[in-house]
Amino acid sequence: MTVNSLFFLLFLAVLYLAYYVLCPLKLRWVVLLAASAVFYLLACAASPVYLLLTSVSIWIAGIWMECLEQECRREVALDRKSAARLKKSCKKKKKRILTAAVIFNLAILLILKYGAFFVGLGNGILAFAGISLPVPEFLVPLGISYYTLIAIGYMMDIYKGKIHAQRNYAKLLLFLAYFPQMTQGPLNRYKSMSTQLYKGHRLDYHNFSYGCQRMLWGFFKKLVVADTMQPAVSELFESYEKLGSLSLVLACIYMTVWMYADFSGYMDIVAGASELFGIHIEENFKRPFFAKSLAEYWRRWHISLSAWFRDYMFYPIAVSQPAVKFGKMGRKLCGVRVGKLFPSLFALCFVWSCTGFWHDASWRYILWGIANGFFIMGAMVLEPYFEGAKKLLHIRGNGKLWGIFCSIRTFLLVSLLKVFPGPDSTKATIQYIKRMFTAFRLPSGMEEILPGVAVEDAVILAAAVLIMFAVDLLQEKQPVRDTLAKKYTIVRWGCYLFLVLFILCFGQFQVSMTGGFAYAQF
Amino acid sequence: MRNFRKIAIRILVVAVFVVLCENSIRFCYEKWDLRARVVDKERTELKGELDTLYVGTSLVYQAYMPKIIDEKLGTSSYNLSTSGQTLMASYYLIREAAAENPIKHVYLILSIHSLKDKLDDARYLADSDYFRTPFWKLQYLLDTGSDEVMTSVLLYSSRVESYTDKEQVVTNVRNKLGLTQDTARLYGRRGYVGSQDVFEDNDPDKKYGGVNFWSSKEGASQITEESAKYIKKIGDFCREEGIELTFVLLPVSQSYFKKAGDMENLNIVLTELAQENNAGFYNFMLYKDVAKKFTNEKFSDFKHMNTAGAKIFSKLFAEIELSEHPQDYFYDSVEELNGGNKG
Repeated sequence: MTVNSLFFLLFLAVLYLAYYVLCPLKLRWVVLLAASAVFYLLACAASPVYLLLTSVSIWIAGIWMECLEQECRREVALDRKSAARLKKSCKKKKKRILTAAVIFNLAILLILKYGAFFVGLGNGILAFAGISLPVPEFLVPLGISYYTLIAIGYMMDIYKGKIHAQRNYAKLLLFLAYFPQMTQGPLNRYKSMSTQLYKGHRLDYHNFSYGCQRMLWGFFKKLVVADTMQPAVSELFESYEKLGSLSLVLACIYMTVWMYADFSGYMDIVAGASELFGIHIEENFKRPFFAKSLAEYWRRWHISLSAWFRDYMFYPIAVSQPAVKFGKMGRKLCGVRVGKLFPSLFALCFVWSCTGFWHDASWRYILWGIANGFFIMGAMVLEPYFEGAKKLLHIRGNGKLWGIFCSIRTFLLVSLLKVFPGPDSTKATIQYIKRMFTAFRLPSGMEEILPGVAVEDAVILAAAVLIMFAVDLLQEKQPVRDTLAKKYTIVRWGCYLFLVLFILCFGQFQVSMTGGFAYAQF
Repeated sequence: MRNFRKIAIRILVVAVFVVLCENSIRFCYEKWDLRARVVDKERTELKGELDTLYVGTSLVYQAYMPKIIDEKLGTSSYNLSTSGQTLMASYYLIREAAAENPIKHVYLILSIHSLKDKLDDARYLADSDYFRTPFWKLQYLLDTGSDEVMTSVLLYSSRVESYTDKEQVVTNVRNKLGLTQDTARLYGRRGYVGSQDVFEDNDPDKKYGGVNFWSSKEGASQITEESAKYIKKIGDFCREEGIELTFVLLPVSQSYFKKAGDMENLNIVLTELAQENNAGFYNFMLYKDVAKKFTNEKFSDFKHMNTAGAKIFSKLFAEIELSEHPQDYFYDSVEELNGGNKG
């Protein structure tokens, strides 16, 4: 079962009745847990054992760390003079538990998802000795990259004392395996979810209405825009050897739009589904194509992942001993201004390599991550020079035109960076880039502009993309759903039914195990 | 309670809108002369009368002329075959027909394609059109377990390839409203579909991209898990319902016969399969006069019969069924057949 299938709608309808009609208020979270278990079993062919291992490990680690913290507080209350020593000792023990739990969970992820990559790497190195290890082939559980990060975030929040450990295992399992976040995130935080998940929600028309609207919008993005565009994107990236530079650039631009429609469409569907039950999950997108810089883009695209890396990787690394030492060295070598940036740059190197690696165990994704990091770090280091240039050219930084220019520049940069993940192998990526700079020629026809899409479908697609961006533009100014709610019934219902008809007529309904979602493979 | 009423009304409005849209789209875009539509109409008219079924792929609907066979045998038969029919679809179609008719005999016509090919969702979707009642259609769809097939069946709009074909829409609407003569039924008597084409003995490999091949090495293991499962289910169902079951292999052109692999092995495998399922078995590839009677002129391509071939075959089939010793019409092995042909 995938979220863009009729089965999912049927599943939601049954769940809705069970949640609001059959179950008492206090036990409604149990219905969500049962539904999540059913969803996981129907959506994922792999065994749920790994999910259970992760949940048990963080449950034990969380309670253990909290017990240590409570014990420490009791001891400090009895012996205030030794408070510093006791706290330090407690922190050390907690750190050991955290490290062990993180290593355990990362090990599961690394073995299942990245095992083949590492063995391949090892075989490459050991080739000279004639040694070749068998490449493991695991059936990777759906959403493992997401729930592992959620689990690590949960433990780090307990370690930092931001949240209390959940003592009820079933409740913790629900937090980790809540069905809307299961396959592609978002990476929800325990603090915001715990207050919503376990509280029984009463039937609320507002939640129903807003939830359905959001799901409808998600279906539009996914079924009409993303799935119509997908064959053209695949075709262009597959036949890059025959194409000229412009077609190759177009492929990158299409891929950016396709990924946005696909991923944000998924997010809208699951956020809407969750809203039906009164639960608001983390927002993952904030109109990324209106970003004026790459750094801002990453604060608007896949927000929960960027925030996870920022909170649980960037900050801890940036204040770590090696980063501080690196900063001191930077000040000596490059002066105070640039030297100050060194700890951040040091942390960013890790963050962006890991972001690339998280997406896929391949060099092209690692290169993509590094390239993103390179541009962001470059912008940080060169910022004073850019400001100087702007002054020299009399450009108003807050001007409308300049803003539009920056948004287009960022969009193009983001699109061009798709040369790394677009082709299906690292070798193809290198050839693709080479061809972009050598095969200067215009597309010879529609087959090199939008292959595999009939002219009438291309018109529909263009209209759908325009509608999608127009709604985003409106949303940038004020919430569209609130605006729509103030309109006459006939206008509101006209919009809903038009969208339903549009999806029915022009939606693509070919679903696979992952529903054809790009981010489900990560 | 007020909230519930509000929500229920809105769901109902959307559901009615979707149903209206879907039916309108189907009415405008589903081809008026689609075989499934004609078959459905005929089967509805014949409900409660049928006692014999011929089930299988397009090979079957171009071979069995129920009208000719019924005249000779006094049966009321129906050619329930569809293009590329899966054995899963055969099973459910037999069950649906048996639920509505006093079926006494089922002829399950097997082919290399239906036994060993792994089929895609489009195949299951096409078969779903041939179910008469929503109950059996739903049973079938649930058994396919495919989201895609289910969606395509429920949402006809997902099957429309082009919305701009005005001519097609006008033709469909005019014919469906009865404004023009219904010529579609000319080809649809009791499920039979004829072809006037004549096979020109082209190389099947070149013209049709290869033929279905039966390997002697792999033998019975070539039969897919799904096919084996549904052959057994058909056998069990017929046994439980007291329906006589016969497996049939149809005659094919000599060009096909030569290229289709080890036909001796196929004969052995199907003989065993028939015994396991308590079914009879006619292998028309081993029919004693196959080379003389089923020459290339009797085929529309390398394996489908044309009208001339179907007439001969249907008469022959009825003759064999009337005979007290039907096995006398067949050789026991390919070796015998080759010897006989030479002789």
